[in-house]
Amino acid sequence: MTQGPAQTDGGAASGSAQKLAGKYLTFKLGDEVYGLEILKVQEIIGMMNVTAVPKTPEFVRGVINLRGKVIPVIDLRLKFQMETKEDTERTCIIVVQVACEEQTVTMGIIVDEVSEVLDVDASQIEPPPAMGAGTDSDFILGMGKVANKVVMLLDADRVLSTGEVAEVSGASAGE
Amino acid sequence: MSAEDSAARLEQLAELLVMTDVTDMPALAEVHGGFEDVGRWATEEGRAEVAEACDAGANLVEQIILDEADDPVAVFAAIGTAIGVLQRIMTGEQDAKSAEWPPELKIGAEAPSAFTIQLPPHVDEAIFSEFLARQSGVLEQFEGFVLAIERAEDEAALSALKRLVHTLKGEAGMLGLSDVERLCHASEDMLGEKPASELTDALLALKDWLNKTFDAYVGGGPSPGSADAMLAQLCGEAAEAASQAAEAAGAPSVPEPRPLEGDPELLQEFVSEAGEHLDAADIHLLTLETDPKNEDAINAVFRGFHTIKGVAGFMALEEVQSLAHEAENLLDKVRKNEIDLADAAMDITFDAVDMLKQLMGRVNTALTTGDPLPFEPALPDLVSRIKAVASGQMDVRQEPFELPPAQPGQRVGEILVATGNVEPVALEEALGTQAELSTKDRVGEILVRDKTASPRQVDAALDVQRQEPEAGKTGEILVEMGATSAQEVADALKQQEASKQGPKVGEVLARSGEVSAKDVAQAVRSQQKAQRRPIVQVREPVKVDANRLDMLIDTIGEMVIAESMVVQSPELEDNVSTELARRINQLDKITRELQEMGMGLRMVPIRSTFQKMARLVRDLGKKSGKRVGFVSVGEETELDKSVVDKIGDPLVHMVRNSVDHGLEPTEEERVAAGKPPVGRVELRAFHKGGSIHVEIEDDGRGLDREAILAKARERGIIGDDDALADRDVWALIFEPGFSTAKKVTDVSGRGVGMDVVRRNIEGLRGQVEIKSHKGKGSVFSIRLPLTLSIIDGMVVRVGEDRYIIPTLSIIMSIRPDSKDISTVVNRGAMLSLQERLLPLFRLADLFTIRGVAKEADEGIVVIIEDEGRQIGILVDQILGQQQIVIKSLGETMQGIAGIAGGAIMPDGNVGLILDVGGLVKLAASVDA
Repeated sequence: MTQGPAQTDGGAASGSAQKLAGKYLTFKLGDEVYGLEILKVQEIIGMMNVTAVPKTPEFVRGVINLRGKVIPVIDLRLKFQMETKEDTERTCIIVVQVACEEQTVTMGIIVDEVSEVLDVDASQIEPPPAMGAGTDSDFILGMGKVANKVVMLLDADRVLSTGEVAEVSGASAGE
Repeated sequence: MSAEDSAARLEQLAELLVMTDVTDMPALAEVHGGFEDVGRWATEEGRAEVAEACDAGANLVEQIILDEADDPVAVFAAIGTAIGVLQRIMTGEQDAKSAEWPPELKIGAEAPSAFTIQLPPHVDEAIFSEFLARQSGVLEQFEGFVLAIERAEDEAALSALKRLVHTLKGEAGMLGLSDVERLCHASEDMLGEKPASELTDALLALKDWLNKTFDAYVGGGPSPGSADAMLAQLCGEAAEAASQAAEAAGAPSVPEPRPLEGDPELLQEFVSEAGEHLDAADIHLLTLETDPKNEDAINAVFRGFHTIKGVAGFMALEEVQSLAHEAENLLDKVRKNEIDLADAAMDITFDAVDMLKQLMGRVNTALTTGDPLPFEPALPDLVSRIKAVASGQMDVRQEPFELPPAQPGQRVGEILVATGNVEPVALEEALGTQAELSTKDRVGEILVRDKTASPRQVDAALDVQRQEPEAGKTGEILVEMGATSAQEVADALKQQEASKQGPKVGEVLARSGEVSAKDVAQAVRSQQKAQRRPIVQVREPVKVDANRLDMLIDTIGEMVIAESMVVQSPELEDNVSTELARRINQLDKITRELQEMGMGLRMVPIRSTFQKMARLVRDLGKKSGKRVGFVSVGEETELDKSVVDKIGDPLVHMVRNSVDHGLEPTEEERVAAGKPPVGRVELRAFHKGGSIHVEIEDDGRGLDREAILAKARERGIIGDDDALADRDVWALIFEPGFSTAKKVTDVSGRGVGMDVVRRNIEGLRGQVEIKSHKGKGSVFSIRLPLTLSIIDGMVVRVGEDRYIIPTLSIIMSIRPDSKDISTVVNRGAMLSLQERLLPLFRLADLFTIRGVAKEADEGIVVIIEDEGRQIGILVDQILGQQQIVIKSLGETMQGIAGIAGGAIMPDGNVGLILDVGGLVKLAASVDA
């Protein structure tokens, strides 16, 4: 017998907003503000020497030595097809742990500057805007509207998924 | 599901139970589901008692549904009671821990533990665990010795084996492991009686049994067979029993195929019915493995055998009938609690089920093909084994008296004094007598024996000594005469000391009547045991969690980096006092040592894997009736632990392949081909070119190029006209499902093995290569990268980036002269080097690096080699050589062509290590 008590499930939209509510680390790329789920963030480190790795997509800046561990670093500006910008003293690397094929992978992402940790309520979250074809809105979980600011809540697992890195690296190797 | 939901669910179940009875299946199913729901909730909530009760309740319901309950009504009542108790627990009226469950639920009963060891009071638990930790090494040695004896009647190995068994016996006795002690004793007896080479099978079986036993003690591990069954096997009693059984049966089993009798339709029905019974028996036996006292399961298995026996008798399937009969008898004894269905009894029951399945399978085949039913040769043996287990054969032997083991290094005399057998004064006297009776070889004799001095010279020296007593000792005179050197005399004196011969203290004591010879013998035995102790203390005395080890190594790595940062900091460049420089040097040295030790921690020799293969070759040889000599080279080659673990599987497949397909099926065939009758399989491990190589070579038939090509064409892997190089042809055998074997044996031939080999090796980032000559044999080479280990690397600069080239792959580096470089067309460049032309590549081009030396003759060419192919790589500058710890670049960065990994450089940045093999391939693809 399988009949159990029915799972109470609210509306799909509000349900997902409920799931998304929580603390986010916000950072800036240019004028835009993005948020990363705080549980994915391991630490924030200042900019350091990055060793370029050949045969990788352009947005992969290279690898760094994080206390004896070699981790890849991604330039989020390039990943989001924004203009490159010289590193400033505010540029930093957010070290995140993302799930990737049942494993946790540690990665660094380079951002212009880290802002704050923001508490985003379910009521403040709206579903990601349906943009036209060709826009990569896959990795945006939702839009947070807090104190007149719009924060794009990123799906770290998607943004930094291995599959994509491997795919792109394969493509560039074939050039 | 919340607590309220669960409570409501229970309420509902209680109501349901009142309204229904044992025959109401839908209601029972509902109850079953209810138990599962509440059980899941309880597990999530961490309420173990409730979860357990729900599980047990669900089981009870299952029993009723499957009609397995002896007294369904009582069980049904028990379920009701259980639900009541659960409800009270949920409402908090009752504490879960003190709840009184109905006995049918079997909750709170002591979990039956097959292995409760009673340690004698004087034995410390720490000693016991230390003993267990050592055993895997000891047993490996054991197996090694046994195989060595079988190979070559190795006297040294035989005595080593005897010592090992004796030690094990002694230790087991001390620790109260009476089974182990008994078996060791029996094997000692046998080793005394029969040539050891005939005992190989029994001894190997003993080793397996011991292994399982120790594993089971350690926790986990399947239960070994019972000691008695093992003993029976060891003493060959099983064989005797078998022959007796055959006689007793009056030889009814004429080993000839018989046509099937009986109605085919009924037979067909029986086949499927028996299959169901046997499958059910398997499941019940598994239940029994964990819950040996589960009577329902025992009864169910018994009924299965009983039914099969009955129908088989009716169908005139004698084999099936007799086996089922014996199995039924065995289970009957278990039912009556005459024997425990554990260990050997359990194994043999499984065997019986398997055999019955086989027999039924044959009946089925015979039914469809109409062929007569073949005779099963293994059956009489199995039947007699079942009989042996059912009769609960015991072997009670008198245990010899043993002194407690001595302290290591204790002398016989001291032991005797300690045990009170001898007075200290008597010992003193005996030692005096011993000294008097001692004889020594003379220095002159030793020197002559070693051919350092001629007899005539020694004679002359002795003459001098006689004539001039003040001239000194023989040796000194010889040195003076220039006949020999002082060093040689010193060596001779050492030998002289060692050769001191005299009666042993024990002998003196025994002769003087101070003590009986038996006491001395026991003291000596006790001493030997103590002395051998250090030898037995093999590797891995401490088991450490691998994660901690990794953390330690990581931390050491960080320390090394931090250290080099300090040492290379600019503040230290000038005005450093000598004192500080000395201390920094010291720090540097210690850090390096620490690093090396850290790296060594994870490295283990491949020995144990090779030993397993030795055993495998032997077993396979036996099975296929081929005589195979096994040679292993490089057992001490060290690999990372994880690699050693993972290489086992592919090696098993390759060894199987070599023995089963590689070697000729018959010795005649080998002799006809001009080879020795005994086949040879050789396993080698060595370091070469920055990788670890593991090779397996056989001197068999070699791969059949035509057969492989034909098969590949048949399967459409290659076209009809494709001309393939040998190398590519051999690579075809790694295709999944590819097999040229004409028949599938139970060893190999399904074409799965080589696919597994390739996958596993690729998983280790290694490569497999095959060399084969038809009629001469094949070599399978596995090349593995050194993961997590130190390599020597040459640091080179290209533009602003630094790369590390493994030194082992570097042939040489030169500053090229522009006249040596010739450009072919507009892309490929060639470097002429010592009258050879090598392809030349700029690393900057291969890797698209900017800001690099433009002209080839401005840089440095590093010639690297991979698998015999050499290429030149142009870099800007060589920065130096250093030891590099290879670090993975992580999941996301794996498989980048030409990059093997990363390394932390002394300045804290990451340097990339070049993968020479990949680089050569990359270069080749650019070339093409």
